[in-house]
Amino acid sequence: MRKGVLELCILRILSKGEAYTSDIVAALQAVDLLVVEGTIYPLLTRMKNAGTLGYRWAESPTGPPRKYYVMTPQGESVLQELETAWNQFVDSVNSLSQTHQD
Amino acid sequence: MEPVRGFRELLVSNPSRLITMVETRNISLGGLLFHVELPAYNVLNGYLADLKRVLRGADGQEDIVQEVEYRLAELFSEFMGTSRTVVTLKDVERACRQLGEPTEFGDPDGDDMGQSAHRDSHNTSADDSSRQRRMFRDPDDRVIGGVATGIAHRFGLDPVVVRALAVVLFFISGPVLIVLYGVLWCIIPKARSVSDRVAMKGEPVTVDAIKETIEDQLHRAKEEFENPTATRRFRAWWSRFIAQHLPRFIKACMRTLGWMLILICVLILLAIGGLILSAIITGQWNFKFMF
Repeated sequence: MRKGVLELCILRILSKGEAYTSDIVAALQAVDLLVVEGTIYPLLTRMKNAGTLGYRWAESPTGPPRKYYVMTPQGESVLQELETAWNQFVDSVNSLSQTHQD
Repeated sequence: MEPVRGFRELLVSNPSRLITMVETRNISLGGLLFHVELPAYNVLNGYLADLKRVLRGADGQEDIVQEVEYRLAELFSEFMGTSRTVVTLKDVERACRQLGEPTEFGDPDGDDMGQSAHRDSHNTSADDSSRQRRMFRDPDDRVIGGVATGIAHRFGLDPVVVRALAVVLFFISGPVLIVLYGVLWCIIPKARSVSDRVAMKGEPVTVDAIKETIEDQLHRAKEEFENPTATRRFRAWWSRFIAQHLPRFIKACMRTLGWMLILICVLILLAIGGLILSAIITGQWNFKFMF
């Protein structure tokens, strides 16, 4: 469950353009979707290995080199699939809540 | 008189500022050079070792560790800003907390299950004593190699009791115990990572247990350099001495023994060869010269 949702969120963040690891972490933490950073690294690596994400290295003026992630075309189709699944899920839960409220 | 009072006030308000000299290690993290205070280095080292252990066999383990190292480098640069040049224990503690315990690097889906399994084991803590402890040498509490403490942890005894027994046995058996100790030292692995330490004490390897052990280590390290009493200083010196010099000595001994064994083997082979040769030449087996 959580893995799928995090994957969807990462893809949404990257759909706006490339981002490096700390950007992704910060974006997820800003909306309370990530408590500790630890969970994100295996996920990013898995998505990269699955071909959903690509990356490039870039120099940074202040710290170590940064690994910028980008969404691959394959990633875009995954994003669409995940979005449909997510919307269906939300609809199902919402309609269940509504029918059982009254 | 004024400057002295100022100095005192500084001492009272911020004692940690007054540590005048701490040993540092140079490390390369994410392609950058960091000077890390020794206690902080130890914690960082343990953290990364645990991470590698947890991720062993996982898909893309090297990538994940690399990613974490770059992130750590970034966090350290961020924490230190431009005014500081040395990474302290606080920086490491803060960075590790932000990244999460090594056990949390697993599958996000598996995480919840791990948590509930941990809660179950917590409820049935009554059978803690029956839980399998693993034998490790304890590098945090040792006189020579930590063998006695390891045995004590394994069987739930006080290390002092085991040490006393060892001394008594030494007077009875003499050199036999020394050889036995050396063998045990070689056989029993050292508790390197935090999860080793947890397993050594027979606690289930859970997030909480690991956190406790890390905090314990942090506390130890802090104590050691904030209040260096004479005993602590001696202990620190002793464990450094053991770590640096004794293994080399033992290695040298074992090498000598090894070479002697090889020499003996070669001599025996030569003797056998000579026997066979003489048998071929004289046409009969002649062992008389041996006796």
